[in-house]
Amino acid sequence: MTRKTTKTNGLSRRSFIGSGATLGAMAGLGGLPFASSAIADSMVEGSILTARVYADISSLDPAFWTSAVDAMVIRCLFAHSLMYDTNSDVFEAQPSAMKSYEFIDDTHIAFELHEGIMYSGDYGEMTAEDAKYSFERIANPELNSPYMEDWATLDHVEVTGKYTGVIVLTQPFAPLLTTTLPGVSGVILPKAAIEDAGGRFSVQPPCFSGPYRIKDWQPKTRLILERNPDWTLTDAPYEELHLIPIEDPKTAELGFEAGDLDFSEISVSSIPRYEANLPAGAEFNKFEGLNYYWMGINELNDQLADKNVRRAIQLAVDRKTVVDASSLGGAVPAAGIIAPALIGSREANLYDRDVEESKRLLEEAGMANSLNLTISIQQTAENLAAAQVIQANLAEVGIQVTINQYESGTFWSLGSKDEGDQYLDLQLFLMRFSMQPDPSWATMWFTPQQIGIWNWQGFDNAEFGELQEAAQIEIDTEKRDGMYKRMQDLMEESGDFVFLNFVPVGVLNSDKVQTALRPDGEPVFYEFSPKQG
Amino acid sequence: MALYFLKRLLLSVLVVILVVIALFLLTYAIPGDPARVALGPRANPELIAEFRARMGLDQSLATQLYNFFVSLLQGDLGRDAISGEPVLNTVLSQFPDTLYLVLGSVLVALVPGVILGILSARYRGGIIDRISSVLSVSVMSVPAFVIAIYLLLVFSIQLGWFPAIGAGTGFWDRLHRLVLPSLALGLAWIGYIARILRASILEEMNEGHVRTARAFGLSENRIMYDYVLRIAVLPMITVLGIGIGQMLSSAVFAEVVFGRPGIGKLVYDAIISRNYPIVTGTVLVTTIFFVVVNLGADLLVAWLNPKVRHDLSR
Amino acid sequence: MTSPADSPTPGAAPKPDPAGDRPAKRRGAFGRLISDPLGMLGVVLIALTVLAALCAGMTSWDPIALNPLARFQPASSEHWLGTDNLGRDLFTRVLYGARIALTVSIGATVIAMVIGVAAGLIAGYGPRWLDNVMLLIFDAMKSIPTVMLALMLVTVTGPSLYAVLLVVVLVNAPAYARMARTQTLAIRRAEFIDAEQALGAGQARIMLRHVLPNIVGPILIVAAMDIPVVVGIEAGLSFLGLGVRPPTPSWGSILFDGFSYIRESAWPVIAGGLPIVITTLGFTFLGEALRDTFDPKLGGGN
Repeated sequence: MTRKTTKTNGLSRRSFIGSGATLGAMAGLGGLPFASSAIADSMVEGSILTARVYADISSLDPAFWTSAVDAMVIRCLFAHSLMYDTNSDVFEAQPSAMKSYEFIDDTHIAFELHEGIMYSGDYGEMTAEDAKYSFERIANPELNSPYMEDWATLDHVEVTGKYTGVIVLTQPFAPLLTTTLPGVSGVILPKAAIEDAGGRFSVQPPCFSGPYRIKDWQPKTRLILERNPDWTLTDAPYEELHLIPIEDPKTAELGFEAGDLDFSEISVSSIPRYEANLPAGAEFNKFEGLNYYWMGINELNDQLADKNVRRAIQLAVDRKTVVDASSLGGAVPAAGIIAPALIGSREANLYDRDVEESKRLLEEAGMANSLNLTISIQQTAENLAAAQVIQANLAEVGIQVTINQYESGTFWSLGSKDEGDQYLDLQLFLMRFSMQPDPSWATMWFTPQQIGIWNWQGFDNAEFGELQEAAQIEIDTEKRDGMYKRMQDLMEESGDFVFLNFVPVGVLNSDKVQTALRPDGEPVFYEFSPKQG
Repeated sequence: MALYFLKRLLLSVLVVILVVIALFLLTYAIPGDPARVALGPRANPELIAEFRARMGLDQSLATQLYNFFVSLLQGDLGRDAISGEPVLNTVLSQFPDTLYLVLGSVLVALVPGVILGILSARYRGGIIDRISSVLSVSVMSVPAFVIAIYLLLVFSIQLGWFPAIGAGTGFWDRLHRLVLPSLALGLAWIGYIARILRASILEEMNEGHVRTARAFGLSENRIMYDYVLRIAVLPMITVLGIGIGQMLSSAVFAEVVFGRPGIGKLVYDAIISRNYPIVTGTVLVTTIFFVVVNLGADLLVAWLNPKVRHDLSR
Repeated sequence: MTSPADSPTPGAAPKPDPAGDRPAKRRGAFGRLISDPLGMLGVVLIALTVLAALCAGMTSWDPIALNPLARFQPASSEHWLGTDNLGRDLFTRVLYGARIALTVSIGATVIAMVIGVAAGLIAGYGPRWLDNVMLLIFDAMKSIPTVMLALMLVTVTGPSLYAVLLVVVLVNAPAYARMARTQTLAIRRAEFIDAEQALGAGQARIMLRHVLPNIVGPILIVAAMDIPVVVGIEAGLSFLGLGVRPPTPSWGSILFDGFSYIRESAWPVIAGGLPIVITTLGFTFLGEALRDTFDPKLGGGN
């Protein structure tokens, strides 16, 4: 369970940050539909792509999806307003269901939809009314969508024609073109379909509007998508996509090498091996990640309520060794949660490892040699390695740590208030969040409102919350940059966070497959094609 | 004879009932809300409410136990605490893969086991007998998961002869992927089979009718296959009965190491996700299967063996 | 489960005797034991394991100190079995693992033995209905496949060494109980007991004098055969992450760590598996030899 995934490679700052002005103008000029789909291959009959996904689908409703896998599948099933470029070094979004868009001013964005995008069933053609309904649906506080923030400053959508409309914002919104419209929150679905499904749906969409549709779903075994005959905007080279949920990446690697898979993301610790040694018939690519990995320290727990104790833990952890051991040398320590490619990325941490100071703080807090803690992790080799190093580091300052391993589903419920009081029992934990290419996505989970939801640290800082709001509507790059840096400082100062690293992405594919990957290695399956010859 | 069958059947039923009671009580052995305990921390609230209603948690323990049995008899093993799917469906859907694995392992155990058993009885005290005896003892003590990992290391990773994971699709592919896991589970039982067969052949050879046959000048081969083996295989059937049950439960190691689907993998995942109804359901189904196989083996032996048949009907 | 409830032989599992026809030699039990080459080999292998456990503190490495930069080193004069993914010396970890393996397997077997014998005596001495009920319980316990029982219990108790102990006791106690019960019944029927009872000998005294001496031999054999099974259970549960917690070095967890990185380096897997093989072989050989020595007719284990 993570949310939207996105990482980037050589992301040029210019492309996102200015948001409105720069990008909008570019796109407005372009207006070429699908300039990105460089794939000229025609559709190949009977062809099947078999790809590993790390989890089974859990919800395909654009307002309630949960994992990056859901997002990958949603991308194939529904037309998005914009879509990120694939196989490019730079993270840029192009119009997709939207034929074009234009910034009238900072808070008014005019758009025009393609004609002839058909919904399956009897839901007819996509219109501007559908866009109005879909965007306002997620923004509506009554729906209580976890992605409400994607449309944080949406006032309303004005329909100006069958295919045209204007997005009206109350305030400028920086992430609009970087994450909202090209992401799942930019999916346009018809009101009638959602209402027929009872207001929301989970794994059985009431209609399809994308390049593929669901043919068969065997839970935990495979999801088969087939070409949607109504889709005309791009090619859909493969006849069928078979998505196999395999949670353990190392199992997936074996499966790939056995020839069971055409495409798979691999585990971080296997990156050095595949870089050195490629199996026959395979291609390997590594991408810099935006996803971030850290150790959380839960200040809501009685034993960790004292800030000095948390600072002592921070000071005791040898981040370099933790990162090296868990990635087998594939990653380096990070100074925060916003990757170097994005604005708001910090250059350095506020502290260095200091075992003596750590001991002193513990003594001051009256906790010398008397602290027994647990560290909760998801059951993977990387987490276990990292946890064991942390265990050894903390033993040096007299803190005993027990490692508790969980399967992913259980793990992702540990810090949730909905599951009873167990979120108070959580002490240390290793966590990894996925990202969209906008800094607001890194920080939004740590506001006071998120406590007991995704803010498992219980990190409660009013200034942080205000900055989160302010930075979203700030379109001055420099100022925004400073705001996000300040927010990460606040996180670190609280003693609640030990920032570990950004997660590199390694991707294996068969050399018979032409992949279509975003700059972060994230697959856009419907653009994959069989290689000719 | 009929009486023995009946007694044996009754005993099996009693054992199953006892196991069910034990599983039921285990839920109560844990402190806390029984519904939460039975379903695990991740159970969704609707399922908990449904569980309370179904089990009648406000009623006496005996009534609850009765309810538990009644739903069992209706084939209701409860529902998956997380997905809400009926447990029985989930368990049964994973059963075939494990069954293939067990069948493969039985073959692995049986073929070399029988050959070794016959040879070492024929050439008793000879070099084959000695080697077979050492070999038997050796393979039967090494845990299946150690063998599994070594097989994986040598034949999948170093040599690349066999695919490392999955159950495969299509007959040949499936067979190919069955080889290593079957070896891992079956190897240990070669020893058991060889030894029991050797011992019962030797015993049988001393019987009067065999000695008579030999006195009549029948060839050793004819004596072995016509007289001795027909009786001597019977104890082996009993061992196989136990073997199948143990393989069924050791399957968890082969399935984890080789990334195969099956009930072992199912129960392992369920434990890690604290999905207790799946754990209980799988243990129950496996146990019943084990009891039934053993019962079948015992009854088969009784029915095939003229001596036992005679003794029992007295 | 495999024989009618009143089966006369202890440990109903039909493990045949491979050498029942071997001529019995008139020599001391130990002499006969070590004159059997397999028994001798068994003793040597066990001695090796015990030595490993004793020497655990004597290498120049710490079993849990980390040095990730020195990870996945092959065997060398410095690291006799190489290093694992965190750069820990595998040989040292294996030695410490021997302590856990031996403590758990011998400890659990002894507990199972004591509880089993006690239960068997009660069944044998108690009224007929109690005897039957207990037999049924023994049978029921044996009817749950071992691994499944282990998994079930760990679900309840959570992963720990105690869970492993509990599993072993539950799985193995019934075999001892059956043996004790059979012997008790036989003694009870014997006439001299009536005579002693008439002379006022207490029940406890009778058990001590007549029951226990008669079952020591068979029980030791079964125990020797059980120990490798217990080593396997402990390592297996630790392998599945349900036994000892990291960083405690159990052979099973060494093996599991190695399994995670099996394509980076073969050494952790070799280091984790080898001692399991050595120890289980050692105890099995010893058990076989003991059986040949003491009781050629006994079948045991399951």
